[in-house]
Amino acid sequence: MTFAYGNAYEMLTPGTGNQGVDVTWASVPLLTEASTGYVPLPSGCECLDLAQTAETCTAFTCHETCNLNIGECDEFCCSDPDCTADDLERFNALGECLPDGSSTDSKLCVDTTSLDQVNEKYNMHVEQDDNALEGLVCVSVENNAIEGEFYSSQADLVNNYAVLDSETYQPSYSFAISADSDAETGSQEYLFGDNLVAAIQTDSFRAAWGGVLSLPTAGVDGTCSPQNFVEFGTDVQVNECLLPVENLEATCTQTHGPLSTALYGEDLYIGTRPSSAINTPSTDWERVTVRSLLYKSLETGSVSSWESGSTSSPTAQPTSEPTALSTASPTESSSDANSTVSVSPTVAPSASPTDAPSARRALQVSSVPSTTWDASSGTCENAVVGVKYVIEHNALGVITNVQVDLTLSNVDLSNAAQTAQQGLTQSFHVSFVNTESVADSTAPERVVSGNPGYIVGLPVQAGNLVRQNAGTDDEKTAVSYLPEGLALMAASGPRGACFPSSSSPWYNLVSSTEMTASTPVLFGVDASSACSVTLTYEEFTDLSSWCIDRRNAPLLDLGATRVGIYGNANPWKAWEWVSLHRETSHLSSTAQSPVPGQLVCQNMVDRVDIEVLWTKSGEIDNPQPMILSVRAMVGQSDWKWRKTGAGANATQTFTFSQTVTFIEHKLTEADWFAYKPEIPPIIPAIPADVFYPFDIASAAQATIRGQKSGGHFVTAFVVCLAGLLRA
Amino acid sequence: MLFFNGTFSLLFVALEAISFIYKGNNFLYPDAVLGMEIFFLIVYLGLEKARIFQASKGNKIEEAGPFVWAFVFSGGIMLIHLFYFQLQTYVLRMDRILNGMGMIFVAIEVVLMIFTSLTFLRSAKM
Repeated sequence: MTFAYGNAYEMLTPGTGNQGVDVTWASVPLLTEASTGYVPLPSGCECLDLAQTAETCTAFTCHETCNLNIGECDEFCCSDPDCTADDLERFNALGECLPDGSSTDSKLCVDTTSLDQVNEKYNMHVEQDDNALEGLVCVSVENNAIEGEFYSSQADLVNNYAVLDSETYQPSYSFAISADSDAETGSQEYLFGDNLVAAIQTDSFRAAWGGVLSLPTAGVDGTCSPQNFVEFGTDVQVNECLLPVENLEATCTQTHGPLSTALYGEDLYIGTRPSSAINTPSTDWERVTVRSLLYKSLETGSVSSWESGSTSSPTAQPTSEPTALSTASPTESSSDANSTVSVSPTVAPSASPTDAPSARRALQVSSVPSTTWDASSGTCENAVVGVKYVIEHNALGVITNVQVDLTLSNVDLSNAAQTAQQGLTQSFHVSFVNTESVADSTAPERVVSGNPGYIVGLPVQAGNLVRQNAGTDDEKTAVSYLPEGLALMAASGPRGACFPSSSSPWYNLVSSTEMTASTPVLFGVDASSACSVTLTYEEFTDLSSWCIDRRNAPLLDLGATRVGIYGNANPWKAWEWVSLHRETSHLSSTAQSPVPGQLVCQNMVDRVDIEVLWTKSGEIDNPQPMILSVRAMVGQSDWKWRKTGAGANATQTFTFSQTVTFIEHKLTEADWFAYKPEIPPIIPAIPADVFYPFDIASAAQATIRGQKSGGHFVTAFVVCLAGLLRA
Repeated sequence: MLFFNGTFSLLFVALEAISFIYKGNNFLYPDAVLGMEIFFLIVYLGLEKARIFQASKGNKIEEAGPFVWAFVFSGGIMLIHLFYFQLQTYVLRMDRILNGMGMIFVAIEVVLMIFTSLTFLRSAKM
């Protein structure tokens, strides 16, 4: 059972934790070559003041703000360097490009009836429209001598946690708890938003879901509705729905039924082009291949890799109580006892606990188990509970490969009468990969949260500092970033419990990675997340087992020590990250320990309040939000047994919580400055080799001559005259 | 020819001035570019007046000396016409016509001045 507190953006893959991504050390600069301090110029931006270096430049402009998928071409982001010429041609064919931070110059379009020719001048650009606006010419001009207004550097605030104590930065509110408290057929390439043509191989080759690939999603009642179709170029990362199961055996044995691996697996074909038709050659269709298989235990929610043959005779293991299949749906209150199913009391097949994306990519499933019905145990084996399509396409919009990650589970009816569930939760995801994106060797492929400035509502970039060859001349530092970003703890057990049902006592789970759910920290979104631990009287009185200094502190560990200054912080450039400072200096000097003679665990570390100080940088007209510092304030309270009845069945619930508060360092006009480049010389300097090859020997002298004003005039006159005569 | 050229130059300056008013109101110009192009028109007015005066003076005193000055000024006038014909920021069809006519005027006058100068030089030797 899963309860999510706060913003349930995307639950992490259970059982895998939010693991850091391996560093490609070959691309990480040596520490001796890398900057060791704060670098105000973010990646992807251009410093306007050429006299400044990256370490000192604050007058920068950023023109790739729509590029949020590093290493992959973003749809309609015309300034994305990952896009090929074919991509740009496709974007232009569809109309307009996404805003990318470029300033909008004044522009004028005029009829060319009376106008015969326009000559571009300095700071003036002419666009000749030869398509829809034939006969028009558009002229834009930038007249302002000032190239923009910029935020001044706030370098003194970077990693400066002390300022967060100032009242200036304290918000008026607090999370503190009181003491008691459709396919375009006929087209040759897919365009953005097109539905994907789908077919299925049964006795014959026929259209699936009416001809287009369905991605079942929750309808108004939370049940899975197939009337939702995959749109080309649109990733779906969060999508769960409840599959009503009135007759599990019939649903399980149905050919290409909703639990069938064949439906989502290798019987499914996707048209490489919108024009792919049932009677077209097989080359027009891409067969869906199963990239990985995972097994999900519906009892604990944990996910591990699936091993062939493990489900044919699952080993039964007694469980203390039946666990609901799913309660995540908002419609769980509507009950139907006749349509309930429950979790098979089986254990997950023994498998490697690692499920890193790289490992999953390496796996290629040769034999996909079919969904079968075991009449003896009343179990539907290998039922599909999770589907993730990975669709590769080229820059022209032609699908080149379709893979699917399937999550399977075993479902039975043995405890149906005891559960009040209505069905099975299934998740359906899809992601698109442009295989012809231009690779960037200076940064890993990843989804960023802004380019460079954070976009409100996207995850805060986070990771851990890692070193190579420490202490040597070849020392390197980088950040092993967390793909899901900074995350708070979240409940993953029944009724908001911190952990799924487990035979191990909660205090023995001493790592945050053992928690199977998390809530992402989204930039600019203050949030609180909590989960609970329920102790019996017997457990509570055994204070010496759990009320031990720092025993449970790892549970509140955020799993990250670095936070990206900008949304596009490069993991291979450690200077683009600030420390996540863990503040404990304010804690009581008395350690977490039992109070003698009382049922009290004093100074129990049970909360973490994260404060994120941020500000704006760059151009006033195109501000780039940046994080200045991050502090995690560890909090503590006394856990007291309050129940009057002290029977063996008495229980009391205690809460662990984490909060995040974003505090803006507001900049006023006093913090702005106007950057005005030096006025260029009236007569431009003539290159020393302007007369090459007619005057080879005098290059050095020409340089000297060129610095004399008389030489400038003579040379400029000759060049102008030559230009006029040529015209 | 010089008489008609004088009338034409006034007409040329008037029409060009009107065209710059039109361009200034309807088109975008970078800093100082419009001012520079109008300044060339003022230079043209002075230079053309001086050129026609020198050529006319050469005719009247029947000497080749003033024609030399007229030649020099003709070079400048030709450059200004070329600029307005091809290199100014916005070239209207009217600009092409007016400056084309202007260049034809200057070209014919230069040819006539050469022959006239040679005639005056020959008669001076006799």
